[in-house]
Amino acid sequence: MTTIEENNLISRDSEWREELRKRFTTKERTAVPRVKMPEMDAAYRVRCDDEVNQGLSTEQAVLEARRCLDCPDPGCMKECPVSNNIPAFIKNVERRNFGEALKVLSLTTVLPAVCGRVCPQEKQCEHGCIYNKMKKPPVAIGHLERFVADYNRELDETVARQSSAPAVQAPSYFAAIKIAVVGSGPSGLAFAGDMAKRGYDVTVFEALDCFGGVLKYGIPQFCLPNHVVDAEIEKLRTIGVKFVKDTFVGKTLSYDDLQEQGFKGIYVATGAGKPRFMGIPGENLPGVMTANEYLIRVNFSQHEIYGQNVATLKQKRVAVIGAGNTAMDAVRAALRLGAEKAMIIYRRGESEIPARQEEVRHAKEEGAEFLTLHNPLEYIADENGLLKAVRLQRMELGEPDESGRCTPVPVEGDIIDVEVDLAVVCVGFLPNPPVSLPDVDLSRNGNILVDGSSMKSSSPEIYAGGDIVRGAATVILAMGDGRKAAKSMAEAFEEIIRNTRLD
Amino acid sequence: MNIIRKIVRHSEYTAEVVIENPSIARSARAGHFVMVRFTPDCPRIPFTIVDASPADGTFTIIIHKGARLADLIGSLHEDYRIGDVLGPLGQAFEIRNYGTVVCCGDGVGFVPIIPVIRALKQAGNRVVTILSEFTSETSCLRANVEPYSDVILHSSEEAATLELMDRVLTEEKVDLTVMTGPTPMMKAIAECTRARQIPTRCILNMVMLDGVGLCGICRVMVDGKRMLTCIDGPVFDAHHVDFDQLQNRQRHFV
Repeated sequence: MTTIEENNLISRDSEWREELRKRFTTKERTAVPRVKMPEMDAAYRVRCDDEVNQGLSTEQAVLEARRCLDCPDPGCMKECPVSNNIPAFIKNVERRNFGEALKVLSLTTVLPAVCGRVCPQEKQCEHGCIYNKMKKPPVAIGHLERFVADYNRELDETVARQSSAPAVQAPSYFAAIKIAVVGSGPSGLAFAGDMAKRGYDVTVFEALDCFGGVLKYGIPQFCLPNHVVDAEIEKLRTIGVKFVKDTFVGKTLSYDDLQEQGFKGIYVATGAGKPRFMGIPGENLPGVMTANEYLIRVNFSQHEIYGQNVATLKQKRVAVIGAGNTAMDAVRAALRLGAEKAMIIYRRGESEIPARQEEVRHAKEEGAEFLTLHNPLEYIADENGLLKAVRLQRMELGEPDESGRCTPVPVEGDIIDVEVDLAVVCVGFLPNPPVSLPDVDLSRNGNILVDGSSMKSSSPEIYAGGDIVRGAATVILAMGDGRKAAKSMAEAFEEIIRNTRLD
Repeated sequence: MNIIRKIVRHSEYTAEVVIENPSIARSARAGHFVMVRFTPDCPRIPFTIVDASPADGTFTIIIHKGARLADLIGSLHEDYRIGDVLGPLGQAFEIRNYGTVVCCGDGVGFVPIIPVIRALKQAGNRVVTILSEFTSETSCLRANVEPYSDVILHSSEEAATLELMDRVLTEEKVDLTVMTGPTPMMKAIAECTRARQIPTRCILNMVMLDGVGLCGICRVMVDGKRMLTCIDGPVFDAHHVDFDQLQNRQRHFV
């Protein structure tokens, strides 16, 4: 894309944007109610793996796009970790130019279909929307982002890629520079996409047998169908990114091997998937599972031998400890597996629940119970050594802490035992221990230490980002790191090439 | 990649499989394992890397897990391409000349100790091997360790394993004990060597989903710390492993 084309696409001053703004008054725009995402009925969806959110229709999307006031100083963009040009893509939706809308998004994100589904929009872009100041629900930016990605993907699929030739990169000095990406989760994919667009020769190494990292093994299909992730990965393949599975960098290949194979830059995005425990008695009882064990079993439950554990999974009473997005995924998966009772156990109050609002609402609609202000003290075994109950301490909210959240304090003597057949511990993740990384400084927790603006580690060729740097965070922040790292790594190479040419 | 170069069937349930994968062959050390998914419909199963030949770019696993995999073993053949193989995983056994080492295992769970016996012998140790079963099914196991053992003892019952161990420990000065097999046996031997203050390592054989530290199924308490067999193990100091808890978990897990 030339600069002029790009400018016309995103500039608020371009002719078409100005015309579009005049088409309706602010009053007319704000009078449109926020779109409601079509959802599958709770009673039905809880019996299957189908995606809950059905996606907006074209008319719904265009009408919702009309609500956007195309602010001169858009608050939404400031809250987006990857600085998506939100008004520009939304206005392209309003003028029904969905392909251009995707082009706008593609300038800054490689995973719009994913982010439109799993980003905590209410804390980010939608939080910055001008409508909040008018005491009205913000523009449904997440739903629109998903619409744009899905519309174009489905179009591609039906047209069967008429223009199947991938966009050929202009031959560049960079095509000879090999870049390795360790991990195919959101951060690695974002980095790989950006580097490939800049013309570098990018290879993504993945330890597991499928690509997508946490998007595949962690997030269940009813939130994020695998085919959506696969389509995004396919898109990266068409711009030249190579993908290698079953390769654990540090074990199968060492970092020295990578350098020997001619990789000049390495981006480490190995994530945080090591389960965390609370350190209370009984956590090693059979019947107490980590979030990952439960979700991996769910996500790969088609396999026969995991099926032997169906008895374990189809528990009647399931307690999920924690109230983050992973906990919501687990409790909703439990309901789909036929749990008679599935509950969230959370030590703080309802308003402190950190999960996305939509997930919490979906979980409630599907029948999950919320036992807030209760903190597990111990897991209790029956005479056979199997989990029988979880002992809970009732809590009350004390003074707000530095983060503004109220600290829960135990209510003396108020302890109850709740009978459960399965407990799923979703109290966070630790960084996956990086293996034999040369000269890279780590924090006490095992996170890779990087310079926050360049994502550069203490080793000159190695950059890192995503959960391996942050600890468990969100898909969008991981992507943001990937883009930041790509920018600074590319600048470093450009610098080298400039200097070489001067010589 | 991942092509079966050779397969030797010792019984309906036991087969030695040589797999071509140069990266794994080059990096494998005694104690390492691989996660194998034969076909997309199969689960991922951990297998000890029994032997590796960097020159040929191959490594060997022994499938020896009971009837569950009998159909699968039957379907494998030379030139078969295995869907996914990931490794080498886990921490390698610390191989050096300890002096005299007793290596002990149960027939069914014996496989993980085979590469350790070989490596210890090659490092100059005197190796006394105790193999608790000796049937036609386990003859291949014996053939794998015989050339690397100064003495091989075998018995027919689990209790007898402990007796043999006790006898060896009484008769000669032993510097290290290595064992693998059923948890009750390992617990009993750990108690026996603890009383005699002989350093003891156990090689755990656990169910895993991913093998790279995500699922936590293979967790085990060692010296009061929660360890994952897949990334911290599979070799642990047997005197600090909480075998009771391990046994309780294993009773309920596939």
